[in-house]
Amino acid sequence: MAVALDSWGCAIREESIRVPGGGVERVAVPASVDELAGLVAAASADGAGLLVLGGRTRLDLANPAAPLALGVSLEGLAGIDEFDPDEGVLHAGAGTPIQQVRDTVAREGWELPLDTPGATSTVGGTIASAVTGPRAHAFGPVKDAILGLEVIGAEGVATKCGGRVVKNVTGYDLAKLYCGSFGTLSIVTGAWLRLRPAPLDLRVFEAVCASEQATFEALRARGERPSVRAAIWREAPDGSGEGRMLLELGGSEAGVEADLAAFREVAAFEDADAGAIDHEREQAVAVDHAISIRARVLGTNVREFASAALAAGLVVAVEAGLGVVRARGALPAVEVLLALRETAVRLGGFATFERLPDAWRREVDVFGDVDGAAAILPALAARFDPNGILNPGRFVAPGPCGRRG
Amino acid sequence: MSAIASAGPPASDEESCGDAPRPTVAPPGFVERLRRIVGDENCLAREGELFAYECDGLTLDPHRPLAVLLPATTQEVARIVRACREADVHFVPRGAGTGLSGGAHATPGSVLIECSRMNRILEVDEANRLAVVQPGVVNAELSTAIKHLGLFYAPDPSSQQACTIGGNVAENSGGPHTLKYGTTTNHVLALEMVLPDGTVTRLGNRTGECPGPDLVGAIVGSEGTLGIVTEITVNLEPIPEAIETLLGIFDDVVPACRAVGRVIRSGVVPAAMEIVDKRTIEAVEASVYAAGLPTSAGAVLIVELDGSRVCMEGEIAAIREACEAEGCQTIQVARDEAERLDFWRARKGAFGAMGRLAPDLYVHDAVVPRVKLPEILAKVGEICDRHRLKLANVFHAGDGNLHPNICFDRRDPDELERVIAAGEEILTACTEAGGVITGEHGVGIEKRDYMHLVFGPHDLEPMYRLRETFNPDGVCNPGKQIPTTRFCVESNPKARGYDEVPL
Repeated sequence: MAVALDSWGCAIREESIRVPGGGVERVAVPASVDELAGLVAAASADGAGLLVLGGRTRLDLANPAAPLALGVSLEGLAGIDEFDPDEGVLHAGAGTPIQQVRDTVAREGWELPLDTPGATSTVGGTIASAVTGPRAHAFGPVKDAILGLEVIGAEGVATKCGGRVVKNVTGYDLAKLYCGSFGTLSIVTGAWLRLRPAPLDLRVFEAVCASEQATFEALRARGERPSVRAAIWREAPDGSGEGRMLLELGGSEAGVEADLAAFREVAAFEDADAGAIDHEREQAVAVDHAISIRARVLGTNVREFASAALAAGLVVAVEAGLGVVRARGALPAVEVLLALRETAVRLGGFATFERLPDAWRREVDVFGDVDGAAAILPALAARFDPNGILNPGRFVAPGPCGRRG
Repeated sequence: MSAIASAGPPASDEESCGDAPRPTVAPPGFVERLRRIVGDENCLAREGELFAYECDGLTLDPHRPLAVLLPATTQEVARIVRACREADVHFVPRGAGTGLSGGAHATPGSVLIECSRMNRILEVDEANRLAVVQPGVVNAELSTAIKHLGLFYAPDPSSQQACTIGGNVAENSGGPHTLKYGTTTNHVLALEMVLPDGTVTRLGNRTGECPGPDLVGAIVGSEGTLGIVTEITVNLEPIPEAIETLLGIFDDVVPACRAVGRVIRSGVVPAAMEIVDKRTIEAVEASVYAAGLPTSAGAVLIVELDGSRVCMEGEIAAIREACEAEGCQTIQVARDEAERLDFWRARKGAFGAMGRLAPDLYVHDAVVPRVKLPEILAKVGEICDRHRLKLANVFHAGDGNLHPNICFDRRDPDELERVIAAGEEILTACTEAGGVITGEHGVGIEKRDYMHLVFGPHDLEPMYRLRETFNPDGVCNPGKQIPTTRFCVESNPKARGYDEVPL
């Protein structure tokens, strides 16, 4: 499975990267979109599997890879090409660190409404893995921040979709397919992103809070408490049922104060560290847990799922307004894990196993139930990547409730 | 078994341009079979019954369908689709037929599947703020039905009193309040649909998030070319605590546009920012929609704020400051609901009022980066002057979404030709300014042949692959949204019959 890389003038470095099911020993570092296109075309012709690399913060969020020939790092496609502070839009290469975008736009009073799991996360990786963090409560999912994308298809052809304007129905909304496809349909090379005005006042509060229920009632929707950006309730690990609630509020000072007053009727919120939300988020996917589950269920069902996870001996954190339950800890029996997944589906959503022992992944699907899409996604992948070279095997549509057939 | 396209490479480059001619009469026994599925009264196939279904809101290029079916259930839709497949008859889904780009036009030899009888709100989950509706539910009726719960459905296209949520899903409809709330795609959580092979599937779940590629997001805005949506789960928004509406009077549209830019830059996110130009004001004030606007005004800017009551004072001050910095004549805050509705009357009555100016109205829908609005408006004015056409502008300024309205009389072939020529120049100017050819009305048949202004053949290829995944043999709403076949990007609008418009 030789790939004629050198003829394309693409830099290759020796580097060993392990991912579930396999790994690569060499990584191509294309310096331009053209170089990447040539590389992908050559790989497609040879049927050589490519492992697409962004900030490498989510590499283990994947099913076992099919054979891989080469890593492809998008670090060479980095940089902010255009930032229009009057318009609130920005174009960046896929390899651009999210933090660089944040810093750039903050100087002009804007913010990029994307949560990322790690400091090295890139624009392309964040889009490909559709990372949804606690601030989706205010900002919506990743897809809402994407105005347009440029991609390299699996046969090495550069295409674009969407545009740079905030309202657009010109053709199919292909960005919706690429976002969350884990690099399996195309490789994102650049993105037009929609920014949000940075809040004038931004504060984080914390309170001891017996359950997320009372706070959930108080913030059921951003419309009623518009300043809520994120809310995380964390169960005390001692099983006492006690917990702590973190709230990030942003907006005008009057708006923040009004909402804080409302929350203080529920619990005694005190000022907390500005980085508390991000810290909590990083904890949820920290490497020292054998298992980490991210379940999303209907808001009214959060308690039921959290109880099931606690009963399985896991530590629970709830992104209250979103209906997200993150559970982590020591490994339960596989039957317990699958029962939790079935519970999430019954409660209106799904459960993804963000950390899972590699050995289990041959049997247990990482991503979780996708309902009717299970019949469509393989056909879609076959059309977009007929030779199966883009992150092969790493995202495949799972069967019902996630045990592989 | 699903007939989702079997895997394989895409069709070759040698595909012929255009479809083979379709039979224009129903195969023997076909209509009778359809009648057995939906009942006699819900199968319209007589000449007189079909007249009203020759087109949607786009009156150009009409076609009479073989039949119009009015199914009541998902299963009936699926049976109709299977019957069509067996008889080799194309089918076109249709909501209320208010679309402006021909997405619901019958194609030659096709049947229309109209979902207006599937008009029940199946469930409202107040605590989780979502509703499950059938596609024929009228947009405004959903908000009316849930008002007592303190909730509303945010997408509000100007046809919301008539258009259906199923149609909104097909077109990814917007409306004035998309500036803050987004378009339909931001509010659809899950779908049930009948695929073009007649199978029924469910996509997404009630949380609105699903692992992997977002098929629900790809279906929304696909103009009924990927299947027929039969049930929609939407999220609902709480009615804001406070709503304030401001009306700024300007000498000209250019400072009004600049004021919009200042508002955006101030960090305030209004629910809506709309501009109405001088000619539209004159038309409105001479009509039943008269809102008491000064006809000497060069432009009116309507700004709507919503959110916490405590925030309103500061936000109103920011809007005033932005408008005054651009020299607005006056700025008023609506004192009560009646005055608020008066302010909106100028905007919402615009299309109706302009109907008085000429027999026909051609509404464009291009989008440009907001900061380009002043220069593009000047350019659009210049284009229409050069073509001796009457132009009025109403637009979603906050989104950069222009609606240049060209008033004309299609009985005058020379004027019709100038309307088409000016339209193409307007779209070209907007795309050259970094914009796109449609923001909310859709491509349909109207702008399909202008897709090349935005996308090259390579860019269209993944769109074909998506379409072929769902609709491999092109039986469902053929010929809409993207050029009919690969490497067949027609560039002559006359090719699709604009010059053969019946009077």
